[in-house]
Amino acid sequence: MSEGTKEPDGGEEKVVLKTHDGQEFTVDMATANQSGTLKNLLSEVGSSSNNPQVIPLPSSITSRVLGKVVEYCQRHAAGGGRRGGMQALEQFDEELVELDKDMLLDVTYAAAFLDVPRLLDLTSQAVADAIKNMSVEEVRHYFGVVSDFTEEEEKVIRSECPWAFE
Amino acid sequence: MSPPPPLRKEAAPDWAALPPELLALVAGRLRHSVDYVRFRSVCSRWRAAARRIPFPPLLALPFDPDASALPFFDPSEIASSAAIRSLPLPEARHQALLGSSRGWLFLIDEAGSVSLLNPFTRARFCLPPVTETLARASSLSVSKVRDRWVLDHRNGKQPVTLYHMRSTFISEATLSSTPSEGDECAVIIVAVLASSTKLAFCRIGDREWTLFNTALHNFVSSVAYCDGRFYAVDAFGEVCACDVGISTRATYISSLMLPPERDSFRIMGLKKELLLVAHYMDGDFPHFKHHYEIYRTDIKRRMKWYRVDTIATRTVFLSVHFNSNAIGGAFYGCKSNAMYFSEPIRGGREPSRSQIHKMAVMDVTNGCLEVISCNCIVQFSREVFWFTPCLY
Repeated sequence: MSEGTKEPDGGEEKVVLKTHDGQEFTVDMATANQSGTLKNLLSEVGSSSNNPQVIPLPSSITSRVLGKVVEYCQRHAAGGGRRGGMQALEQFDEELVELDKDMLLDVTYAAAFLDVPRLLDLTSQAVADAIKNMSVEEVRHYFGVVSDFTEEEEKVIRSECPWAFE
Repeated sequence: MSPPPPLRKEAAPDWAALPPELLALVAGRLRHSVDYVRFRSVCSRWRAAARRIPFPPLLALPFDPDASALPFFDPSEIASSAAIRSLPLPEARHQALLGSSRGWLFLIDEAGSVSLLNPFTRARFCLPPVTETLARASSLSVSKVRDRWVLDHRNGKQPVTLYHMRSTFISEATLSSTPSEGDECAVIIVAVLASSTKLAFCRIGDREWTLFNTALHNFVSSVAYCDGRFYAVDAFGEVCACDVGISTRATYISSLMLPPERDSFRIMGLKKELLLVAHYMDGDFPHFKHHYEIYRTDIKRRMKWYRVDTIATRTVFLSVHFNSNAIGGAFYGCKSNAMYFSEPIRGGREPSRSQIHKMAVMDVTNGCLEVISCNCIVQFSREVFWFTPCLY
């Protein structure tokens, strides 16, 4: 549980997150405080229920991606104490990152930009799990990564661990 | 709040362009050395982002010298229906394995040529060949006939096959450091001989092994390297320190003064401390009960041994067939404060017959045992040993 949830609820304090594509997400302070970036920002500018602070987000965080991040933050702001405890929370986490690879990448970027460390851990683990047991070529194909090794380097790598390519 | 409808992004996500710190996060969450090697082989950015992380040792299963692959078992996969995997190892064809140290395997062929091979990078160094003198240190008389060794036995001559190499010349060896490109000359290799109070050492590039006396009265069973010195333990738990190199000398350190039924001792080095694992059995055949005791000493504090009932977050990996073992801390998927050990593989030597190789995990503090079985085929050698992946 992050510091944010230990603070008094903040009453009706709200903050509006605005994506580049024009969507607005109104969230409470406990949710916003799950993000290190937002927490820092809000501690400087403040926000209130009558006049909520509107925070514009960079174009890389689309409304779909932000939806995921907000879903995570809201659930974690509520903590493990509610809705079935830690086990339910873990299950929620697991299901949250069941994403296709493009979405996984976008959420990873968003979690890094918004500084939500535990969400970043989750997405990193999901990527690591996706790679598991894949050969090098399969990983390259799956993530659309083109090898930038020179022909010579590629040859050396293949000769060092040919099994990695099988 | 209802989730907004998905919107198309202009640029396709680019996994190759993921910032290094995010790539490093992903790499840090790969749990198996083989996946990690694959990650490093994807592209240069992924390679640069993958930092060194410790992987648990792998259990090398019996190696078929006519095959070109080393089967192994990953202890971290016990929970997830572990399968026997294998590493292609064409360099090891027609050779026997003399165990491993720091992730490098020691190979010997029937002619007695010894080499050092990293099974992950396939880097290889030649070591001096074995000689009559090395066998003589184990009170064995051998001679070379047309590129093959023969043992002069009381009843005549007996060929020294691959399977007899360990019991004739070198049973296992220990490296002072990991040979990496450029500084391999600094690496010292100490070999434990078949049955001798002497040890042999060499450096990479040496033409021959140099024998030296230990201060021990019984056959050396295990050697560890710790903070600049090698430490040897004999079959009775006596320990000596060996300075090896320009001037080689051994100094008697201490005896554990244990009851005599302890039947094996293995020594292992950590940063500034040594661990000694003593083993004994009681009970009657076939219901032997195995006991392990762990002793620890701080090499900076007068080498006084005391028994410990915890190794905290560390894990010790023991093999019945090799005395040089692995130790490390906080391996993913492995129990801490535990000893993983391989039991002897039971059963005959019938080819292609699947035998159950049992492995056990023991909690150091309460002695509770958990037995794990991994299917492996016993064909040629029956020896298994641990090797720590050294991926660079």
